Amino acid sequence: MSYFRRLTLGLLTVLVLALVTALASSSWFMLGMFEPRLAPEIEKKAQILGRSLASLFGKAMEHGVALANVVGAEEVFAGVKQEHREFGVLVATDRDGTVLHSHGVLTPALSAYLREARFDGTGTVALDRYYLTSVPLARAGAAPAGYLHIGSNKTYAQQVLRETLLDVLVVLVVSLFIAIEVIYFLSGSGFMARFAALLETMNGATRGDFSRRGDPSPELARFSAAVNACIDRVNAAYQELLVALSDAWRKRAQRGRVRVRAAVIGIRRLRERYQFGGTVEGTGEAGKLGMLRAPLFLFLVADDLARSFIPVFSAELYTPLPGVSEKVVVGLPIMAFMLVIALLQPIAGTWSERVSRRRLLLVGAVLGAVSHIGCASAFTFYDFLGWRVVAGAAWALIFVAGQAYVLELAGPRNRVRGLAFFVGIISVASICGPSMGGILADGIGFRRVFWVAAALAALAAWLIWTRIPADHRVKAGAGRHLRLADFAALVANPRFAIMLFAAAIPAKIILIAYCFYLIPLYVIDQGANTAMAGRIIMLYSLVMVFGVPLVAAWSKVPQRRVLCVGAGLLLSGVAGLLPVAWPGLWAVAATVVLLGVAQSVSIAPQGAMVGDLCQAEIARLGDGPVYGVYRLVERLGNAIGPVLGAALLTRYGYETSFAGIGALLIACAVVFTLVFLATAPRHAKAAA
Amino acid sequence: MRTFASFLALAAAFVAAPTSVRAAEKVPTIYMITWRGMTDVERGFQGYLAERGIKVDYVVRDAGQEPARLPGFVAEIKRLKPDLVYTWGTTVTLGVAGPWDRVDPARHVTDVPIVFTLVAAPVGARLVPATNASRRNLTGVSHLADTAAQLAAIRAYRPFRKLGVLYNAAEQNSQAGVRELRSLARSSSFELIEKTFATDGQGKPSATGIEERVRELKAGGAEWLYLGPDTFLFTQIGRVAAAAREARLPTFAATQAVADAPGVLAGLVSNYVSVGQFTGYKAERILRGARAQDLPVETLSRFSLVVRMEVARELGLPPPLAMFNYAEIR
Repeated sequence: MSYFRRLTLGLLTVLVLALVTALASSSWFMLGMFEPRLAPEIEKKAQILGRSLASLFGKAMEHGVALANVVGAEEVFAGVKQEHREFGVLVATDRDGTVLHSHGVLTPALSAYLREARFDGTGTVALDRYYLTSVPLARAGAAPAGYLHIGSNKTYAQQVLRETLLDVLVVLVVSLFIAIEVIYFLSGSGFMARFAALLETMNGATRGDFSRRGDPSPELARFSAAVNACIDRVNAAYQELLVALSDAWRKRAQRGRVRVRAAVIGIRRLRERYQFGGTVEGTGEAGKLGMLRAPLFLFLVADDLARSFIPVFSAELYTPLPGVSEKVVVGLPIMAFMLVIALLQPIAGTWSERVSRRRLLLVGAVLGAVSHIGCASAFTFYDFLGWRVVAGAAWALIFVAGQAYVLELAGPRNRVRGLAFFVGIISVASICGPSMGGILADGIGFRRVFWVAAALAALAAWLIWTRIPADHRVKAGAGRHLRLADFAALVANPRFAIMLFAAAIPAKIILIAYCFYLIPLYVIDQGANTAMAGRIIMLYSLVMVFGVPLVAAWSKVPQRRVLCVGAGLLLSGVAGLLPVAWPGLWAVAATVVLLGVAQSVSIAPQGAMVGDLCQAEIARLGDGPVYGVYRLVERLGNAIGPVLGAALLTRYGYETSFAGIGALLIACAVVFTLVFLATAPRHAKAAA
Repeated sequence: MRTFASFLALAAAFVAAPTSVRAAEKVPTIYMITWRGMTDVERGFQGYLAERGIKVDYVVRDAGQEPARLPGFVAEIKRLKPDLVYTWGTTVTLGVAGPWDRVDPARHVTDVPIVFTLVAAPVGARLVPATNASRRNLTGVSHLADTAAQLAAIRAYRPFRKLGVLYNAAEQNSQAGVRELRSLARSSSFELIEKTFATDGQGKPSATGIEERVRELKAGGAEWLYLGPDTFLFTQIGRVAAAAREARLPTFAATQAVADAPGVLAGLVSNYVSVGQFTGYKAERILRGARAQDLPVETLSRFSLVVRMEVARELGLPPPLAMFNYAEIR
């Protein structure tokens, strides 16, 4: 595959460079044309807005409210600013220029201008960062009692352009990832798949695995014949060696025992390093993984499309519930989704060992499509909530069956890499889904985005139906429901328990509390829009996609896994504290990036640690129940995340919420690392 | 209200023709019971039916605020067998129809459809179990905006932490209203300060000590005095409003009749004529063959926020600027 990777990387680099250059030059050109045309439009708008606000002030004055006594002008100004972001400041003054009501930043130049009070209530002046439009405030037919000044941001044109560029950048990133997915998809079928399988056979041979021969496909007949000839030669030599050795064994009385024994030991060593056989034809596990990738990706993207606007959509459908605040109710669909996933996973885990995985994937994808159709046509908040529960069930099925399938294809030796592959698909989907969903929703509306999601999920179902071979791997008696006894057995394993409660749960708590709840709200609170929140959150998945595979290779050594998980926790805690020390959008962007790094460092090693820590339990219970317990507990952290975030935020505000969760993570990092450092040597000795 | 409006449009299109046919039919009788004489509601009701070209014979009775007269009316309804009974307010409607879970066919009207109007809280007063369908031979119209909407309107004018309410503890509509205020106080965290009117020896409400009670509400920290749908309060509104003005306590009314009284600062109210017209629309549907139990119990969807500037100026509480856009300033 390294040839493929080099090829892909090279192509992508050229593509990115070309696109970025084109983007940069065209936007620079656009900026020059944009501003001169936009400014007069903004002025016109300021005039219209000024007259309408002046008439409102006029009404109040006609009813006997003096200009200075008007109440709630600041709220009206704030509403205007919120709705029309090109306006930076609104000020009402009396005739002498004394400020009576204002909203926005009064720059020194503006204050000086107002104090001079030379305005006659018409025209527009440029004052450092504003274009100022002034309108008289008066009762009908009376002399002005004061003036309303509306300052339009000079930088608005640049802002609009920057927003557009960021959107284009998002689309660029997403399309790159989709291009990669298409390459994977192509490499999972047809000629590319056979080519990949052959490469895999060759790679296997260079590692010393001569057990598999290349696929003798007609397109690659000469090439694969050559490869197979090499493999056959090695295997033939090995066979000869075995024959010679057995001859020697039979004649050992004449030749002496010691040398024969040495030869047998030599053969054993050889077998440890190399695998012989040459009877299995290369099936191309990588190709199968590629086939699995497309439907998983489509399904997950479909689900992620709605993520950026689910709270907004819920608020639209919201009907008051007695005794519960709107914020909490609007968060319910997210919580319900997470909770269903958490609770269904152990059950689905046992199904995945009993029922065919393909069938489980198929059911999940169809269920997903149905749930999106349901959401698209939901009448009330409650049926929407119900459909989100169905969507959660579909997600759980796909996750469990997909993960089991991937792990099976990867084999026990490549568990970490298999997990990383799987996490990679989820991350890429969460880069593409929410950002594209947000842009789509702006264009076609929330409900139509759900229809798009339904179509994607249906396509995923079709791909599973036609492309994924049936797996008849049914372990009789192995599949059974998760029992409380399993929990007891696993939690009684103290190291596993520490891993769950000091690492798995806290990692999910900070992730969901920040990326789903606190940061979106914080970004809005800082005066930015939801698109900005979407972009910032996208950074997380972006980091994950590149980070997870890097760490996966490095953390193949079990001793390094503890280090990875501990470092990940510590980094998450530091990330969590960043916005406390350094408020603002850059800090939360850094937090999200750092959270991405932290989770990439820990997520795959942590999953692999389950296997390390629970060897005995896996042997006894099967890996389904063990991973089921792990996932259930981990996902309960997902459900706790938003609740904890909401509780802290409503009581203590942003700063304390960030500080509290960040400190929790650092404490967990310390506990986790200390426990594992203290118990590791003893454990190793016991194992030996 | 949406159904009301679309019905108007629809009906106008094709009802005109059959009117002449219907003229030959038997003219239906509507038995109307009022509580305190004819109001704008009856004018809206009868005006609507007349406008729609529906000929009706009216039998009009007034209870004169005496619940004791209601059994006589029930007996008369059983004798006359009108096509429809119209009842005004909670007390009259309960007296004629009974609560939904304790209907006594001997004392209550069951075989003639009833259309009620101006019932503040039809569910709270146990007239119907739910507003979507009454499941009994009765339907009607409420005139109140949702209590949460009323509180939102008060907050939009001036936010508050303590809300005062003065009510007649003997009236079911008042009890229902106060119960709802209490639950909203818990969920949206404000404090409700309650005072009830004094009662005389027979347990009837009396006007004694109104000023004192209003002063106590103010002294207790109430920032607003909420004037709910309370018949006794309506009869005393002049004194209550004057006392509140004296104590510099802003007042907010839930009903048009109270908001119309001089001295009341503001209110979120429905126009009584519109309430009557909407009731007329329900009556029309029943006269045309719809079953009362199938018709929802509804309130209007549009309310007016009224503000009396004279009081606002006197209290130094001008409405916020945005309110001049949508309030009916008097």
